[in-house]
Amino acid sequence: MLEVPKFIRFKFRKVGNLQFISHLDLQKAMAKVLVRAKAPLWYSKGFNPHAKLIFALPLSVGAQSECEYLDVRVERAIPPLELMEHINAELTEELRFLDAYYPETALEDIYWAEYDFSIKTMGADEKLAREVEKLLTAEQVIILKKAKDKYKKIFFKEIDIAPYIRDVSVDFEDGAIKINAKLSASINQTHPHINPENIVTMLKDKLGILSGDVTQEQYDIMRTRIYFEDGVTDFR
Amino acid sequence: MNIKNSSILKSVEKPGRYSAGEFGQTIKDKKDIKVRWAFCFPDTYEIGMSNLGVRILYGALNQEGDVWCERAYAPWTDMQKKMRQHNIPLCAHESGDPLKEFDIVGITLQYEMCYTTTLKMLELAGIPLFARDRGDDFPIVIGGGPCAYNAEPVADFFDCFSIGEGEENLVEFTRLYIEMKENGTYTKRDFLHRAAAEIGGIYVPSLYDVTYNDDGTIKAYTPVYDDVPKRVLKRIMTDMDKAYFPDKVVMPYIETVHDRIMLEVYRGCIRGCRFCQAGMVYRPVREKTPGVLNEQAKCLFEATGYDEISLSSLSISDYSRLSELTDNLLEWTDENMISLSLPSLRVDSFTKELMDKISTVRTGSLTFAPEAGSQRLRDVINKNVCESDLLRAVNVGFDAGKTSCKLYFMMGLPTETYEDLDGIAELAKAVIEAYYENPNRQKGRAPSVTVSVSCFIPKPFTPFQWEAQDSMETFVEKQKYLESKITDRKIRYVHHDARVSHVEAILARGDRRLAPALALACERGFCFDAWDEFFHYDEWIKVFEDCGIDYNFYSNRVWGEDEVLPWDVIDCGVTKEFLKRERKNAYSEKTTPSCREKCSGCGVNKLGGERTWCPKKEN
Ligand code: SF4
Repeated sequence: MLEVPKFIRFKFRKVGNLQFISHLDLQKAMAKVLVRAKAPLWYSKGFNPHAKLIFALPLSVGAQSECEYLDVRVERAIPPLELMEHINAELTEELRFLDAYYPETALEDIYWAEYDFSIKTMGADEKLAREVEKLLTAEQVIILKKAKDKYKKIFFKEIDIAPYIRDVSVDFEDGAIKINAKLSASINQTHPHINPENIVTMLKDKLGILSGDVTQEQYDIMRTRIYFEDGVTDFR
Repeated sequence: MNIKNSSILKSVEKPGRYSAGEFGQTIKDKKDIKVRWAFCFPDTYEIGMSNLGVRILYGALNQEGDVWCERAYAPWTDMQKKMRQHNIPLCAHESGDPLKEFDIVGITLQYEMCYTTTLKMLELAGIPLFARDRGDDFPIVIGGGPCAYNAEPVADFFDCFSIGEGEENLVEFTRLYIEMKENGTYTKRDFLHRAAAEIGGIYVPSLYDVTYNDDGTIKAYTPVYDDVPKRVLKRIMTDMDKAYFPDKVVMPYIETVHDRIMLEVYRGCIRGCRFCQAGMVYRPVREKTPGVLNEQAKCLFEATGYDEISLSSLSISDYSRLSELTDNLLEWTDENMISLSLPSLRVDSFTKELMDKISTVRTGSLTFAPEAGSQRLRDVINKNVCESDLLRAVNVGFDAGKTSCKLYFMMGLPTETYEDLDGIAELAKAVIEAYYENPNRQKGRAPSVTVSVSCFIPKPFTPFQWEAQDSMETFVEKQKYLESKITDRKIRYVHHDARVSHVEAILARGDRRLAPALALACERGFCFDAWDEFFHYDEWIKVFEDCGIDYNFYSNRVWGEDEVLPWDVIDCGVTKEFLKRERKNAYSEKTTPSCREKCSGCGVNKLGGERTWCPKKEN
């Protein structure tokens, strides 16, 4: 008898309006989507059975992504792409599945995530772009990271993320500062996970940008690719 | 509402409330559209999305190819601030277009305390509050929902109201609008006149002159045209099996109040509790058949993927074919990991069998509503349950290992005495004793009983519509008294804020003379009064006083049975004679049988209805 593969891995997009849906809400919504698509979900036994969905890298509210990963445990084999079609029939363009397969790697193998930042701010110009580049490629890149002490109280600690940021390029284009960079990403804290929002916060603090009229100024974050440890091979 | 500005969304709490883009929402091409509807729920997205009525009407209107109905909710206060700061008007959820540009703005009035939020939404939309200040260029503002049965306090702000069930008359209303726009005869005044004259269940307040007596009571409502009905008869769907059923559901991405399938089993109620407005205005009972319900439930499951089906109706255990329905459902729900839930259960129907079938009954807490503490007072209010029913029901629960129980009561009911209040404490004690006497109880665990007491509010179209509400002092005294009577630490006592109930009572029986107060409340920033943190009693009283309104005239007065009532202009099908008769029965402590046992001649059978208990109407 053929062994049933345990998980199907999906790659999906979460953009536009969907960037404002929190990770927790997305998890709940996704469970319902899979039921609607009649996915052969595996359920835990016991009093309160639940399906098993593992999301790779939680995205913070206000960030978009073209490369989210989700592993879903199934109870019988099914052609992944066929299931993906059913799933997409239950979704809108802003949340769409792009790929599906039986994985040969672990989500833990994820090491880097690439982001596009677009910052529309007053006085954006080539000079500002260079300042941004200087900050992001300096020997030390200090950001404030939210942490909790042992009493669960939130505090901010300074960390140097220079080792966790690579391949930075900064341009000034269409009146906006465009940053492309790879940030260390991890699903289980074996190495640091850098939230792209931290980068924007640092730039805000250091350069005083994005402090004007919110109807004029805005920034967007888009996760575009995920890599293995070498930072060049696409994760799959 | 749908705001495209991401910076603003990034700066507010729960941006998912505003970002839209849900699966199942209706998007149409504007060039095919003749009428744009904005269906507003004057509370947060999370609450509005859970409302079954809105879901039905949204679907019914969007079935029309040339009509596009969108939704709108009240933005939370942080978002309101941003909107004011940046001059952003209230917009529709789907398209993000300003409400002001719509043809028709519909607002559902689910509870009186949403009136201030309603006005705030109009203000945020840039729509003048008073209907008389809105010319032909502004949208028609139509109200509906349970509060429309006495919408007089907000009548000046609406162009019209849909009375009763709106599935049909809102469509007819919209078609008339299209017809008059297309043949060039449209003016707001003519349209409203024709709607009132030609479409059943459309009430246009501006077409009635109201006069008052010297003592402040109402003298008369007089239609200004001969072809406008003297009383507007509510609309109902006569055959619920054939009534429009929304098979497509908008799936919220964020958590809402009811993330489950709500299966409407029947409309109406057979009981006739004398304080209950829903029990009167939703008459007659019209059941769906189990076969239809089973198919609808399957369809909703496929459309939503929810893991819970809630059988929703006023008193679900009164559904005549409940057992058949639950059996049908259980044939496929278990294997799909779906649980069944019942929102309300009467003590006389709480059985072991039901408990085994309904998982939420199995896992949830025991909740019952005896409403009054003594048998005498339960007879007065026609709550046909007795202490032994309650004790039998809690024992079924205790047998199954439950240890806690919640009991709902009402305080300030007509004829209530302090002995009746003692009865509340004694009933709670009896439940505790029943626990210890139950041989099958969970050994070694102490029971707990929560006694939750709300304040009686006299509501229009009930046998108690003429009654006075207790004064604030009396409520406070009674609450203290009851607290002193509950000494057992195993009994937890909680009571509603009497101040909220007082304002609710004023608005519930209010008339058009309250409009200036509501406008002033809006001007002073009132909003979300249904939320404790935004309800400020003293400021409400100040608003009434500043408008020279004797507010206790509405709440704390015994109204005369021959008085013209503000809601006499509406005909909910139940006759005033019946309500008077029921009031008399209350005072002689006589109960009235349920409609299933015997028809008491309330008059609503004139509306017809399939699978109802009513005698056929005489022609
Ligand atoms: S007409 Fe009779 S059976 Fe029908 S709702 Fe009224 S009292 Fe009940």
